Amino acid sequence: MFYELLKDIKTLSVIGMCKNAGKTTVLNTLISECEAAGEILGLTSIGRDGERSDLVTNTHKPEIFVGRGAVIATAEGLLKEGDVSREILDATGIPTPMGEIVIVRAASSGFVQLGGASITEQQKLIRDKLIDLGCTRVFIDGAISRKSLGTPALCDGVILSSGASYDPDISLTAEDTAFIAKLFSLPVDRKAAEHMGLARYTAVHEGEAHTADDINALVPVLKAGAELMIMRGAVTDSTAAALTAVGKLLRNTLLVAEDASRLLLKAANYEKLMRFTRGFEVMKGTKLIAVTVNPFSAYGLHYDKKEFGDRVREALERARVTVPVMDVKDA
Amino acid sequence: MLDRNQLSSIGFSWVTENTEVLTPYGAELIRRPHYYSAEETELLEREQKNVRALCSALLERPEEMNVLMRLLMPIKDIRRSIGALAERTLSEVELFEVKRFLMELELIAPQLAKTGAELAGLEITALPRALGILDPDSAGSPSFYVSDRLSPKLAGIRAARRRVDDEIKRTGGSEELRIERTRLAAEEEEENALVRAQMCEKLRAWRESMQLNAEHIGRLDLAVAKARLMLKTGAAMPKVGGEGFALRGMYNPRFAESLSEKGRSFVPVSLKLMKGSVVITGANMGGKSVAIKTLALNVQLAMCGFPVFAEEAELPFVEDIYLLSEDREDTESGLSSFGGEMKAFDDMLKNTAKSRNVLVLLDEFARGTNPNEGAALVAAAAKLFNKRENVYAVIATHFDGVAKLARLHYQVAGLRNADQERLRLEMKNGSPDTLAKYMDYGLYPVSPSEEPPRDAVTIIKALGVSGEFTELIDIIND
Repeated sequence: MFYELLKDIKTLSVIGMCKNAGKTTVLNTLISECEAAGEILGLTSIGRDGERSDLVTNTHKPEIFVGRGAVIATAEGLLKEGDVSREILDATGIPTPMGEIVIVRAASSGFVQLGGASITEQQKLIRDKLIDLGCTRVFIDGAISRKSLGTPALCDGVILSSGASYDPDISLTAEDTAFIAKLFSLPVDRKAAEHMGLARYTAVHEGEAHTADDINALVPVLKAGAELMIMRGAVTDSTAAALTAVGKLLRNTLLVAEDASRLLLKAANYEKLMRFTRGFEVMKGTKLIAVTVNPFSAYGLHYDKKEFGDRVREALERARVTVPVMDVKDA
Repeated sequence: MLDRNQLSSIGFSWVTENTEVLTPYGAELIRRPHYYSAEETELLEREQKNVRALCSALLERPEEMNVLMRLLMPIKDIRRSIGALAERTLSEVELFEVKRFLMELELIAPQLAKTGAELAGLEITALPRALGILDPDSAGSPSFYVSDRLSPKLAGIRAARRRVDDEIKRTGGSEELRIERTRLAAEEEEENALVRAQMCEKLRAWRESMQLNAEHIGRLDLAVAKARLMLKTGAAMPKVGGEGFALRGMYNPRFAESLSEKGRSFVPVSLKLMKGSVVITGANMGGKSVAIKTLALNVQLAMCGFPVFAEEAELPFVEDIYLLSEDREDTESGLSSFGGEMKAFDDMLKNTAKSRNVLVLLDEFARGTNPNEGAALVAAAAKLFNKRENVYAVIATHFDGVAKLARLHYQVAGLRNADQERLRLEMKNGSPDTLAKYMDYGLYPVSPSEEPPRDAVTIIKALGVSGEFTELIDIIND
């Protein structure tokens, strides 16, 4: 079901809009599909903060099931939570609250519990080790929504999982899912990085970069008609206010952020900016390959399966994000 | 003993930071270098010999030494696991680390032999029988897996588990099959723990050898780092154990580095010391303190088995070094700097009463009181050290009447040989650079009857200190 979407994607991250969005089901599906195709899988996670609170909400958390030969990078303390026979391949020295990250090969099929590093550089190191160990594909159990937006540095593709546990209001869940999906599928402008200065704002006019920490200092350039407005660091609601203040001057300007993780503004403000500029791009991006939906809520307020899928599809369409939507159970 | 502040101020920390160890064991040794005690003369000689042998190996067989260093680099600290082995069964990850260490020994031991360095009391021994316990199939793979060979029962459980897994895969898995799978997984875990317990039981006999190897790897690492430092900087191995100090062409790499950033260079210091008091006098800013710190650094290095920054160095076995200077840490709060200094001096006298050889360095001792009494204090100290059989003292001072008590008197040349005419002209736009240009930082032996020079006023003028001030000084002096 996912397999044909994985073309060109060596490292994939599955991220959730919330807990119990069905991330693990998606991962298990990916794993069995790839194993059936004879692939050697590498698996890790980007930290495990707060995941334990599943015990608090008391929902059954399906674990990840791997076949013989899969390679797993996880915290040493989590090994005993799984039941595969293990061959220890490496101890990375990367510490986590659950112990050092170790790399093991599953000598039998069985359950594993993933825990990983929380620093991007360490996550990259682990990903590269898994690839060096011969993994043909690496799957990363991502964190929840925004925390995962920094994933572009780490993987070539993402799957976004949404579910009824996000909010009792089905429209809100659909809209917010579409917004995050939108951020993940922003066009990537790698060349903008060449222009970016050290200041907060860089306006590019006829190929020439002008930088300033205060956007008002750039008004003359904007009046002349800048083609790019590059923003270093976080783009927040107050950034949105500053951009709105110069308003019409940005009519023909494309806004560029470093990556989707920097876009911390509200959906409404984002939409507003989209209306009076030429839109947003990012310098580093990843590919959103699917959105999955789970109508089952851990808190009891389940959605109608068909309605949820339709709502998310409609919201994505409005956000002009073209991506397949699948129900986790069907997957 | 010099405290941490002093070790940093004399440049010892600079040296340890520039001694590039490769392993966590070496890193631990370099954090707190061992100062060889009077009972350890032989150990110090052995360390020096080993460092020299590694120096030759670095020069004669650089390729083999490079391979050795590359083998040292990935080494991890496994002492915790070796320690835990005494009390309990190790986890799979711990056994993996022990196995990796044993495999590293298999490579390091023969590689060390290939370097041709003949090392005394420093041995890396491969432990193939210990490795055999963790690698019963002799697979030679660095990974760790509890082999089927170690327990027919384990092999049986695993085979049954594979059958059930295949069955589940084929049929989708009934509830019974899943329960069976969970049962087998638990059984495997249990048998796995049992086999590991047996492994650890056998491995326990090798605990000491492993511990010793870890320790020796640390010492080897440090000795290699010292040898590399020696070759990189041209430092020399000192001769320790004679009577008296003869230090030729000493320098201080930390000061040399900061001087070279300013386009200047360090003027080497040569000193001879004998028991009793040696006095250094000379101009302000002429490098007396630097000379004392350079001496302290090199003696500290020599006593820690390091090469020294000198062309040639001979020194006795120094049991302890005392440095009383402005850099001293005042641990006794509530005392003024003068009070603190006197207290430290008194402690030093008491502590060293029974020592064989101590080096006492007084930099501007009693600077905090009036010159008449101060001079008397320093003169008394000089006399006291002359009486003591076990003290090599170096006293840097501006006070009159001290040098004549010295066994040897050194003086900074200072502005003595400067072209006074040109200096006077340039002084009008004085700056620290003007001063540095005319200052001769050389330290020369002079007669004990020679009194300290009177050039403080010239120096502050050359420095470019306010004319209003220096004019008033001239009026007062007239």
